[in-house]
Amino acid sequence: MAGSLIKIDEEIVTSAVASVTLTGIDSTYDVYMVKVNNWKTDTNDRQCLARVTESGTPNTTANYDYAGKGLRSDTTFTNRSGTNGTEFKFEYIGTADSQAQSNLTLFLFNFNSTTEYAFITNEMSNLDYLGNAFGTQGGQVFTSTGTARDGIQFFMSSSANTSAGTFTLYGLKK
Amino acid sequence: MATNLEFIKSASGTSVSSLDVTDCFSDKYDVYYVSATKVDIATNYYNFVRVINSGGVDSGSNYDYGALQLTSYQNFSQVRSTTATSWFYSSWQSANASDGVGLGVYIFNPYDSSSYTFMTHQASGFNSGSGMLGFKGIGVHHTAEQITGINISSPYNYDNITINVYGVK
Repeated sequence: MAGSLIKIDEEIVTSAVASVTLTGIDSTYDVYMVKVNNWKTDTNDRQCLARVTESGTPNTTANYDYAGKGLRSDTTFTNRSGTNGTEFKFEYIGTADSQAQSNLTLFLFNFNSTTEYAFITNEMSNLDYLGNAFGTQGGQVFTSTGTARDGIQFFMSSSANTSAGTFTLYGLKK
Repeated sequence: MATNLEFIKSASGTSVSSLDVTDCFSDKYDVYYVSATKVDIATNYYNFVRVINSGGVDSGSNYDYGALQLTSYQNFSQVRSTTATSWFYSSWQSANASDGVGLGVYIFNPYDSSSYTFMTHQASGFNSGSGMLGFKGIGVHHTAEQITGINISSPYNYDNITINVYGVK
């Protein structure tokens, strides 16, 4: 049965890789959704990150801003914000706790545009590398224009690998 | 390939303080969306969300959560725990007949017996005499076991409650 959430691309990681790229964003849909579950890394205390891709190549320029509230189970919530970064930023996972992982839901806006900034909203529920429930809810923006973005690449900070996870891109049917 | 947010199962109750949706999680999906609607309750209180394992509804101290309580009438506040017996601050329900609540929960990895179960939730409710009261939060059920269902409960009776479960294919 045809639905309103159309699967476009999916990558399932079962052994270590440097990055995961979801492609297929074009003018077919106005809004895209990304679902990530069981995202794990092979190195302790590493941050989950992402970049837009243009013709399949990640844009590494310093044009990423973010703001969100870091919700956690163990202590006072944390404001997360920054400007002119080189990637979208999520939270830290690791190997000190074997259950440490990230579970994300992202909505992607204006990715196919050449004239508008690209926006994402993010929700996540993680177990951080210390074993605490930790997830940031907020928004992020990529402020470079001129080239349509056709995908999103996920990776870990400091060249750590992604060791597991299911990454899925959907279009929201118009 | 066309896919969808696929409806799996629904449960409704009247004059109950607890409602289960059993056997709604399986190996067919990794991520689920659970909604609670048409909720009326006899006494103002929070709605508890719990998982169902092989022993039934898990009321052990196996729940972590962190949530921001958002209101239209006062400062926002933080609620959190690492030893809770439910995802306690999922939503707030007032007793007036018009004071319903909308609760949406994403559940991650429930059926994977080797993984903890994770959730995010958003809720919008009404606190009688004050105004809107909602939550945005996260949670972890920190036991690696197979979870097959979901439960929503209160110390007080619901006049009505409906829970729908969908798979994110």
